[in-house]
Amino acid sequence: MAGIQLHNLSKIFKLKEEDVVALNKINLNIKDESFVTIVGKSGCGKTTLLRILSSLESKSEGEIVFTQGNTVITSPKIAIVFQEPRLMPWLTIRDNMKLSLIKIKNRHEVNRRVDHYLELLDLWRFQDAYPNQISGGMAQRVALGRTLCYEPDIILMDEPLGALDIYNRKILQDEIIKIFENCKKTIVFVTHDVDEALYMGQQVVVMNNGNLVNHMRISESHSKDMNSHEMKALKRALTHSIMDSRIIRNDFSA
Amino acid sequence: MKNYRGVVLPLLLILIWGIGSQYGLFNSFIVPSPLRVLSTGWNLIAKGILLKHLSVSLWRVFAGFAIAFFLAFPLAVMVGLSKKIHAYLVPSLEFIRHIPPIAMIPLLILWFGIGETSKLSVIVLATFFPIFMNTFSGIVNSNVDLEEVGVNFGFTRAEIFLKITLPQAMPSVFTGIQLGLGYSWRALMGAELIAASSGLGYMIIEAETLSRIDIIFVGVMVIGILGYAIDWFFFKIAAYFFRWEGKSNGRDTTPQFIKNI
Repeated sequence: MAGIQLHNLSKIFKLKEEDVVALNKINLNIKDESFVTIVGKSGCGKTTLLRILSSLESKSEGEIVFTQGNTVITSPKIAIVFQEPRLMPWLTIRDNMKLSLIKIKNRHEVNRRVDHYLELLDLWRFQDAYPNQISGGMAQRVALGRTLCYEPDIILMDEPLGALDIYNRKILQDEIIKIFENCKKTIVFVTHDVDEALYMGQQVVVMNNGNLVNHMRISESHSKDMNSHEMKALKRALTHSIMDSRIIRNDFSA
Repeated sequence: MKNYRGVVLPLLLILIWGIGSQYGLFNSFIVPSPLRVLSTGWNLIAKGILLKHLSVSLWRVFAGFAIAFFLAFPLAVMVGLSKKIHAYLVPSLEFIRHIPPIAMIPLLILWFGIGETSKLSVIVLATFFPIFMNTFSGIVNSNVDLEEVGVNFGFTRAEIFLKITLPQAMPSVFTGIQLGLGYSWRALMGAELIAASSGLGYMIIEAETLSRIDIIFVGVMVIGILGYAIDWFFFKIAAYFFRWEGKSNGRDTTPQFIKNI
């Protein structure tokens, strides 16, 4: 379990001698054991932010501090669930889930974790299948299971449900919420879908052109009535800030 | 039914051949009758001559192949993983790749004599490139997205290579092995025809000097059947090990005629 503090975090890509600012001095405070959704248009910098947090990309400037309670910790376990399942096609579902446990030498513990998450995600029957034998929704479930087996402190999700049909999407949204409520990890969930951001997040952060433009606290509880007036108003406000690139307020660390 | 379509043409040819020989349409000095070829084949087997030559040739192929594999595979992995080595080596390799191993036989004989060394070198030359090129392309074309999964779970570089890059490259490596075996078989026949005192190629060229056309026929057929058998065997192994390669991956290097067997 860990919180994340971003101080003036910037990322600049070089593109044909030209600087492209992907993240522009972002300040954000993500509390320990909270579920934060980041919403924005394609190319707004949300994926870049997740890739920097998971060390797949280096930052250009600024600081990232991880905390546990009031103490600063150096390297929490962070795992990312990508937009595509990224399963190893030569491994069975079970072995794909085991892959994240490469550092654990105790076979009993490895099997215990894999069994637990196979059961939790209703993948038990498919454990000996290969990725090319299962559906897209099922594959994303395996990718989620692989990450959960790793038992990270922070889970980053980069539009993991983006490629799924609406039914599978709904089911997996609820499963992710259930997992969050049971294991209380810090989850940063990126999406371009305003409804999804509102439904899943306790807080919603809006990004636009590498800037943070809005930050809303929704509700600690996940039992939300998406048709209530309050939620509809929030949705309008969110959509407005996603579309309007003039508003820039990069400091949401308070 | 589909499975039997492949044997129609060979049977038809044998039939025409048999009838032609029976009615004296072909000069039996140039085209011996199928029955004569069969009895010569049987004789060669019974006397152990065929097996002797065959085992010499097979031993050469597998020994040469093993040497080529242990040279080409590690080198391809190294070059595939390091862009710096790649820049130094590739032009030279491209140059050598375009020289047919058979064109090198005179040189190899002058260097190594007509003993085993020159034959093994021909096979190494023929087999090296298919293994090298296919392993190399398997390593270079490894999916970075999958490697990122490893990075994300804290894999070391060695772990990423062993658990992600290499398994991904295996079908390609295997294609290289399969091609390499085919090439080495052909190159060896060339070498044995030019200078050898044993082996299938030698059996054929010796039969030519003795005007034993029937032995030549037996030799040629054994070469064909054996090449086919080796390929089939490898196809079966590949089908077992790479059963995860579904249609979605879109990679299938098996010739259509093998699939119909």
